[in-house]
Amino acid sequence: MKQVTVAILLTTLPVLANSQVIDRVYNRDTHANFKIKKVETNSIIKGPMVKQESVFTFDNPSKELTEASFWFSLPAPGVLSGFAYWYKNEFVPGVLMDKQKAWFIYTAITSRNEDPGIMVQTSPSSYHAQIFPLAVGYDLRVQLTTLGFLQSDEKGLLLPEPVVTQISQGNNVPQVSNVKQIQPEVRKVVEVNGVKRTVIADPLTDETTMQYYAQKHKDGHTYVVGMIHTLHPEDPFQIKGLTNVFWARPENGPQDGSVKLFMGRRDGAGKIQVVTDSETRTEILKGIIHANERGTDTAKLWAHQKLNQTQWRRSKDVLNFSMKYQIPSAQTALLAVPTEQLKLFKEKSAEYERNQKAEARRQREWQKNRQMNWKNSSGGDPEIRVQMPEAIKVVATLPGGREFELKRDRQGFWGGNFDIPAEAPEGEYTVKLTGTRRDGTVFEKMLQYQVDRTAPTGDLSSANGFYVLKATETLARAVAIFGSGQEVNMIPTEEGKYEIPMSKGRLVKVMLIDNAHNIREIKWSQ
Amino acid sequence: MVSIAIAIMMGADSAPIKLVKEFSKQELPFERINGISVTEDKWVVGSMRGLYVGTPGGEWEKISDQSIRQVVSSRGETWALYGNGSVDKMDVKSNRLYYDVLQGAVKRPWVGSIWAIDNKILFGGSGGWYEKLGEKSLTESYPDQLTGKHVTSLSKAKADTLIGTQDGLFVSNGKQIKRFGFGDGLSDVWITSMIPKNNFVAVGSYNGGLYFYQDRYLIPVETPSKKIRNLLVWKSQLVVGTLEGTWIENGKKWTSLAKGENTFLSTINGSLVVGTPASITFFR
Repeated sequence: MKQVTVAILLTTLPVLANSQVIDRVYNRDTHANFKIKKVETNSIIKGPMVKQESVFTFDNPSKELTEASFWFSLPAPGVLSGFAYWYKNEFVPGVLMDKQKAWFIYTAITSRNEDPGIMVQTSPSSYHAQIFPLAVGYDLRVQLTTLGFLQSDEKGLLLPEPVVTQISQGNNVPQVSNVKQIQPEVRKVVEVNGVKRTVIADPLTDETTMQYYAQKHKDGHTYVVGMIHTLHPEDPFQIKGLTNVFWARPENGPQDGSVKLFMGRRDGAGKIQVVTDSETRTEILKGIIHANERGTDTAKLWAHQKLNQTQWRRSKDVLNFSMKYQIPSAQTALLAVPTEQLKLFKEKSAEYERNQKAEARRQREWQKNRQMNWKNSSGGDPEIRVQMPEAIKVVATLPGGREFELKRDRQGFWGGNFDIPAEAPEGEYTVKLTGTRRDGTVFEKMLQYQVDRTAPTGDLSSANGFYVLKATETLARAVAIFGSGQEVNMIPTEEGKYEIPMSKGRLVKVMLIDNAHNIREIKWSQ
Repeated sequence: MVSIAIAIMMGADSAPIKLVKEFSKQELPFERINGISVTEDKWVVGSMRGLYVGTPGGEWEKISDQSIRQVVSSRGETWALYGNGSVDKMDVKSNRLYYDVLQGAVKRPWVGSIWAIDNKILFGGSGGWYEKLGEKSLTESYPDQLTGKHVTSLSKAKADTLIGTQDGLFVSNGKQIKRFGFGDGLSDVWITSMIPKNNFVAVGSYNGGLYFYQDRYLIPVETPSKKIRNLLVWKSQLVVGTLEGTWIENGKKWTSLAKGENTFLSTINGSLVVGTPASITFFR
């Protein structure tokens, strides 16, 4: 395996590229663009896969606290693997996390005029970063690490190059590109559409060619990414030897399907085959996967496709999947926090986790049947749970006139506990719920509860081979106790009427239990 | 039968109980306190509106805004049971909070009650219970007989574990489980609280009064109220917290300590603490 490192200085930039495209970088206060000073890219080529780490340096003339807004895109099927920036001279890498958590921390830190950077995915191929405040007297330097594929062109397989809109518009800025290549070796620099490009391999002339690269991931699977170049773009192609295969087309490459990109996985080493079987021809390309290199790059490219080609039911599943493969998604963000702010970061991170757990706990609370709460039956501190979706605030007014504010959970339920005094007279009570809408108008909802401390009563008799209980109210249950000590729930037959066959045994007594768990014992005396 | 049982099991006349302090709303500004623990000068207060740490009359730090059902202290650790069934552990001395400690640690992390017995912490769960001895020892028991039942109280009697539910008292010797219900003399099968005292275990029920359990027998005991909520043994005397008031055993009689619903009973630095929705009172 040969490794070649080449450094070339490009004075002009390609217009079309299959790589990082820096759309706009500007001061959020003045909307003035930050002027690009330098772009430096390190590329590692492994089979058809290209890993690029680019540092974009912008002049920061501001003498005041400013916030930089950084927009870029990454044509499909590229995936962002890392984001970092420099705070003064400190390199600050972004950490992928739950987007809600990242914003919680970012907002908390920036509110103190201190300095994290955050990057979010705005579409599967677009990203936005903001950094606040920029250190006065220091350039704005941002590093992006991306994974993608070589670009197929009639002149050969081209190395993707970053595109900075400002430079494309005519600014003459040095752009350094270092290439570390693992087979095949770099051939030459050619001109494509008037732009100098590095060619990695000669034009593909065979009917069908395949390049692939495999890495074993820590999850035990071997992930394989590949590129097929074909003169028969309409033919069906099938990959054998891989599972969970996703296909993609290069966004900036040939759109007729002559270049097909695939990502799949398998367990361990083995054979891979590309099979074309059409009415007019059959072709089989074979390869061997050794699965001897460990890495996460191929898995990220696969995961990015799976993320975008799968229907996800829950955002939590998207989050978990993104976190497993460490790739951005709509549910994640990359947060970069300098060492100076790490203490605050940790505090805020812990606070967010606590809030999340508290919220999860609150939701679990609602899932419980309050009748099962042993302290909260007749008297005690039962809970209110209501849906008032229009409200931004809900206040409960208890029968005695006392008020308390309900809390809202994520599912839109408003809830809280209130006290039923043990000495409260029996009867029906009303809690008034007053909701306030966003526009300040209010609306009301009434909630009734019953205080009941009177044990139920009833008559016990026998008829037609059954013990029959006629209760004065509907019971929670009626339990027949037999001479053997056996307890059997009597069967409700109609409103307030309960029966059990006399063949069950010698009845001793029946326990009548109402919904407030008041109990009366009726002895069998016939 | 009843009077004989009381005569045998209730203690001799005790020294008079002295009210030490009743805390004002300014000192403990919380609605319906359901549990208190004190470590050195720091108080942990669990209330209907959340969990707080601080000192009476001073600053209070809010740990959670969610309803607390129980606060239990044992061997320097404080356990807070939330209304939703989750449990936090606090090491107040080092100011550390262990959040939702049973989540992920046990099969069913919902807890209905916490009990400190000897060196163990017992958690009553859904369909079973957990026993914690030390930092790493946690055993879970889910016997078939408890399927679908919430464990509302736990206690130990010799080698037996007493498990109170809303559907009877269960006694496990580790191999077999026997249920005590209406057919065994209980007037109510909803067991609310249990506490070992001498050779028996006092068993409180929601609406059916107090029982003494000994050697697989249940003996009813006369109490001023049958709506038992909490039980405690303080200075070898049984304290009974009910929906209608709190009483302490005094020879063959019951002496009233507080009126109204009892929300919790506990001992702090040798004092008996009685909670009601409106007051917290210390007795010595």
